[in-house]
Amino acid sequence: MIVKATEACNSNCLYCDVVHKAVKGPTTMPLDVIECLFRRANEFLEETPNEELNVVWHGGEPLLLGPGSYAQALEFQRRHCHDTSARIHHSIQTNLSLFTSEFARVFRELGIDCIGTSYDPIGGVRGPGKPPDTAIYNARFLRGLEVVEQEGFGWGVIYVVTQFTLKRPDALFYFMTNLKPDGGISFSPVLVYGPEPRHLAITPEEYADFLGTIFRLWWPHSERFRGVEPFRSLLRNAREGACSLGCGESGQCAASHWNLAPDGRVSHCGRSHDWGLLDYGSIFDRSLADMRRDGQRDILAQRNEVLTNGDCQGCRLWLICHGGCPLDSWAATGSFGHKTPWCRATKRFVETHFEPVTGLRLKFSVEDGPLGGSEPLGATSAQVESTP
Amino acid sequence: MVFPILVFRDSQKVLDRLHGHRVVVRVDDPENIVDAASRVQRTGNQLSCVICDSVRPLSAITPAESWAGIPVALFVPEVGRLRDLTATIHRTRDLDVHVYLPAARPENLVSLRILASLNVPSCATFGAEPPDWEALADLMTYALLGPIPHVPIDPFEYIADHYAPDRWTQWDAVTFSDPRRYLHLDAESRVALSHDDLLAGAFIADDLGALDDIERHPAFVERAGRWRRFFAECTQCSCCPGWRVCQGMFVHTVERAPGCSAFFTELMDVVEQHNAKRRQTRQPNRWRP
Amino acid sequence: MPNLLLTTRCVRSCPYCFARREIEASSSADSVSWEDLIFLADFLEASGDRHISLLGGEPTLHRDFVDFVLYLHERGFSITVFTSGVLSNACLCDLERYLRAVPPGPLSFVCNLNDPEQISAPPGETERVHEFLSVMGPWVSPGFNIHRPDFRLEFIIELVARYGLMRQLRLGIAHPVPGNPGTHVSPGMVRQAIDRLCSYRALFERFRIKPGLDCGFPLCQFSDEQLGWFHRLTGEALRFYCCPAIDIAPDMSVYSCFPLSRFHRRSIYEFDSMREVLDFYHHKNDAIRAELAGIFEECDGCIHREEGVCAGGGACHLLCRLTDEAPVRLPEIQRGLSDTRLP
Repeated sequence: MIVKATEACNSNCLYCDVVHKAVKGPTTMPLDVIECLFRRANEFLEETPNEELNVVWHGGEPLLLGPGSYAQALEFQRRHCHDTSARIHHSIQTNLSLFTSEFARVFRELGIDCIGTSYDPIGGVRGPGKPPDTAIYNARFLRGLEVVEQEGFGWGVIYVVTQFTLKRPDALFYFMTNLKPDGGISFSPVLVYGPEPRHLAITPEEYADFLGTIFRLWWPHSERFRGVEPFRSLLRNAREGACSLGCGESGQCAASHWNLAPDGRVSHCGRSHDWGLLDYGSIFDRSLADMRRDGQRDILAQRNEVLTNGDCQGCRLWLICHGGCPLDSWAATGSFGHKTPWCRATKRFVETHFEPVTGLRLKFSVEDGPLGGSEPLGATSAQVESTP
Repeated sequence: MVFPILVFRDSQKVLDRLHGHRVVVRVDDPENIVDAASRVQRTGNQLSCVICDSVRPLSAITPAESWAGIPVALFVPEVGRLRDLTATIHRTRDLDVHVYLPAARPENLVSLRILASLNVPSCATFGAEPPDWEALADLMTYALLGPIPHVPIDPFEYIADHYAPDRWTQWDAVTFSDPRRYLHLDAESRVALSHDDLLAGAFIADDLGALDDIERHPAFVERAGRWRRFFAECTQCSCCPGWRVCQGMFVHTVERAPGCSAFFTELMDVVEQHNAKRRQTRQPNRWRP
Repeated sequence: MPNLLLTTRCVRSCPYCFARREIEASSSADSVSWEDLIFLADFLEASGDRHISLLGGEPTLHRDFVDFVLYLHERGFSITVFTSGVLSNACLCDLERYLRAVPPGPLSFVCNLNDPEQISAPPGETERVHEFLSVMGPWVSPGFNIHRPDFRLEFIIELVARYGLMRQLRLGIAHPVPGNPGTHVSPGMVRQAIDRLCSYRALFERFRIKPGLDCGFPLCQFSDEQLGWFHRLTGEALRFYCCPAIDIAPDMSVYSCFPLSRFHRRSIYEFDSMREVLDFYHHKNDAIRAELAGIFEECDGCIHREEGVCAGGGACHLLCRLTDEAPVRLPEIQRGLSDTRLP
């Protein structure tokens, strides 16, 4: 359950959707929506005794709510989820600029022990103001990071790769791994859907080559540069047949995602809400279980079969890609039934960089394992052939 | 919290104010080493080592038998000629002496290798002038991957001992400069975070009584947080593969002597290789900084 | 026990020098660095080798000669220095001041002496040699290279007596360098040289000087009586060997011995131990012997060679024949082929 606590943000990052879109309804989630969330959560968990609920506090900048709102959320959870709270897990994605010891206290009580963030030190990309003031942003981020570490929290960071990044991939790689030597760094491509900011956009090929460049730095010292995604997961998948994938590549988001907007409307995910797709109704009107059974999800549930008989037929990388994120597919083709353009990035990275460097040959074709589902892939379903 | 070890110039006045502390005393003349050590013991404090800051080369210093049992850190500008050293080196070897040499002098990089191969522990020190980075890399490789196990050459051995791939390696303790382990007192018992700070008059407290938890002291926090400037400004150092060990230590010389990056990058490779195949060898029981 | 060339600079120009090619091919700046010396000490120690010989050119010309010797001594090595004895005053003072503190066992010198009547020396050179012998006498054993059949040894015996040198005379026989033979003792001259050597029997016995033979002497050129005398005088069995000496040049290249310095020359860094180095050059020498058994025709089939008592003379002679004479044999081979042509 992605909880968009607020659409407001104290930063003006160039590539962020929040910055560019027009917001309908309230900007910040009122307390009655938060309370309803926990009532619905308890209801759902009582109906499904084997399920767990991951609540991801998101935004905008979720810390703009202030520590009091999260303290209230905790109170709502205690009040409404007395017997089910053990199956509710909280996490948060923040720019850290407002993180204080007060937040640390309440997050600790919510069971949060690791803070998710994103960062880019490159000038002119992130920060308040127009153009973004990177100096202020960097200072605030590092100050927030200081508090995170002093308070004993772990943290993970997403780095969004833009056209600016491509100029010095090696410097950027070392910067991030120096900042976070214990790992927890994830590289992702910038997603630009509209006309702006086109100058930041990168092609799938450029992203693949960026990954390839830093992969060559990472591979000889993979023990030193721990926890760098997507390399760690890809290698683990390749060697162990395990299947650790992000939501966009899992092919399993049909039955597992909700996005709660500040106005209480629930859709599939953040982008589906922004684009008016897959709206499941108001949390005040429908239960989570009911929304999970919503017929609109069928098109997502059928996507795997459609792709394996269509765009992705015979693809040896199917099980680690699943045709990419359905929303990316919709953005590019107007349909959920096609693979995304980022398929090219995956293929290029694997064929041009990963396999030649590692000597491994990936084989994750559909014949090797079940379609969709939530079972982990065993060694029989993902075969790795070492190239001679 | 384990209280840091106190470093100060040999002074009865300072010692009289201390009780039960671990201390390092500094002397200028090797002749004063024994007396300095005795003074510490008489005042109920625990001697960690004696630092001798000598202007004479090692070959001009005759270690005394009375140094036995006293850990000595001998800071000298150079070793001198080996022919003048051989008369006393066996005694230096048998005593608990660590020789510190400035790495900026090219002949000292050879001397460090000689000393280690003659079983005298030594340490390269760094100052305002950068060393010959390539020669230092050769020395480092010899220290960590040499075919015959010799006694440590610091800071390489220290770095290898404390290195972990998932964090930055702090190694300033090897030259008594880590404020988490060493605090420096002047003759009035004013407290500084390092010897350089002490010489510059940058005190953080007027006496030890004013200090509770050093790691929460604002000056310490500020010192510990200096790295943030490098990252906030996205400097050359913050993007350097060698950062995890260097942490910007040579930022002031990187422009005119940029070899530090290659050196520290290679150092990590060698340390990882060394640690991977470290053999369990029995080493003499010597103090370590 | 390898030989380390501290420098290729030399103070003499001996007519029989089989290191000349090596010296001429080197730069005058070639000398061993501290880093290389320490590497070699480590290499030898790891190989279980605790002896090293220091050569040149003239090893005492190396700037750090005294420090090198003291360093190696501190490392527990026994050191033999091969020198001409022609030292500068400063160097001699350093030897007297620092090296006399090292006992004669762990440190020794072999002073290669030239007959002043047969090889003219520049003015003052002989005096300098004598000064060296007067300072370091008890550490020094004399050495002599037989390079002509009418050599003289009286001057050596006199020096031994005068300066208290060690009473062991190291006798070498001048070898040819393949491709550049120079002054050397050919196989046909060996017996004459041995007879000449044995003519000093009385002097050796009177002054209790034990001759020791270096590599390349063939067994068959000694009479039984001569062999008996050598054994009785020295108390040791004579060795008629030719095996890799292992010379290491200042640039850390390595080869079997001086005459074979261009034959399969490698870098010491290619090897992990002295054992590997020795095995490599033994194998190369064996390959030569597979082509030519020895320096005489009779070596092929000689039971003493087959049983390892005699090597059959120096491999350098054999390599000379293979490199210098093979093209000469081509017409002979062609004649042999034509003789066997079918009618």
